Amino acid sequence: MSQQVLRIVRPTKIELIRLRRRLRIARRLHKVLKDRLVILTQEFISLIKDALELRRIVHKSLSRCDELLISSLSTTSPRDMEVLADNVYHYVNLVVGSRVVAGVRVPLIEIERKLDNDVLMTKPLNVVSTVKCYYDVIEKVIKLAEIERSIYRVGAEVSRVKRRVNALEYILIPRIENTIKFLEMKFEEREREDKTRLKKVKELLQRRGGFRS
Amino acid sequence: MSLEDEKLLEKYLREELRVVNKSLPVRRKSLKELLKEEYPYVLTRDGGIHMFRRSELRYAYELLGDELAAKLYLPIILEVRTEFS
Repeated sequence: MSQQVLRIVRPTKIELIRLRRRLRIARRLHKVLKDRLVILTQEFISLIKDALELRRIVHKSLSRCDELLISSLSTTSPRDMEVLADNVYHYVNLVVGSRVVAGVRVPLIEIERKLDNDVLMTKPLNVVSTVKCYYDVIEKVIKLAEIERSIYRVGAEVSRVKRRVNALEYILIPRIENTIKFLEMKFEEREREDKTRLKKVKELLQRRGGFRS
Repeated sequence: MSLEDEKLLEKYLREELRVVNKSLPVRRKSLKELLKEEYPYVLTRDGGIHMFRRSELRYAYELLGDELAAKLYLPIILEVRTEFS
């Protein structure tokens, strides 16, 4: 914590009032930012958990889809599979926008069209399950992309807000407090000096008065 | 730290408060109104958009029903007042 004091031009009562006001604002800001930091951190942790889980599911699904693809290739030619994949690709229609989470703009991606079962009606059953499996993976990968980008954005904001909170907590607020303490001590000292001076003057006047009488 | 540095820091902090409030919506919309739109969104104060996931809106509509959906205005705003906490 900072032990320094602010450099003030004149140690006056007005300056003290100003500093007290500034301290009040700084404390209020610190509270707002700290609350925001807590919300952002919670969001960050929950996003990371989601991303990890989704990544695990994607890896598992991909290996399952590969197995299905191998079994499908026994009944369909690779060329047919490619044509089918091209058709399915047209069903991946995305809406890309943004939304705001705790003051941070994060992407929002949504699949607009779902896979039409009519395309797969004439295909063998193992091919249908392969296509559905890959389509499911695509949906998950899109969701994962959205989450991972959000993690990056929220993470950057967390570190930025944390720097601000630390600056307030360890530098600005302690410095203002120290300066207020310093000014108060200075005023007290001045008051004591004044009292002593007045006492001396009184004594002097009394002594003079005594001489006269 | 001089007073000038101090003022600079305060300016940054003021900016920080602005960042918190810039994503507030200009006008909130009811759930029913949002569901009627092709791409449900609200405008934010910084000129950007806040989009809603249609599937989430539909889920909320199923839970609330028609009457309450007209009364629920989105997004829900949480206000933090430091003087009361």
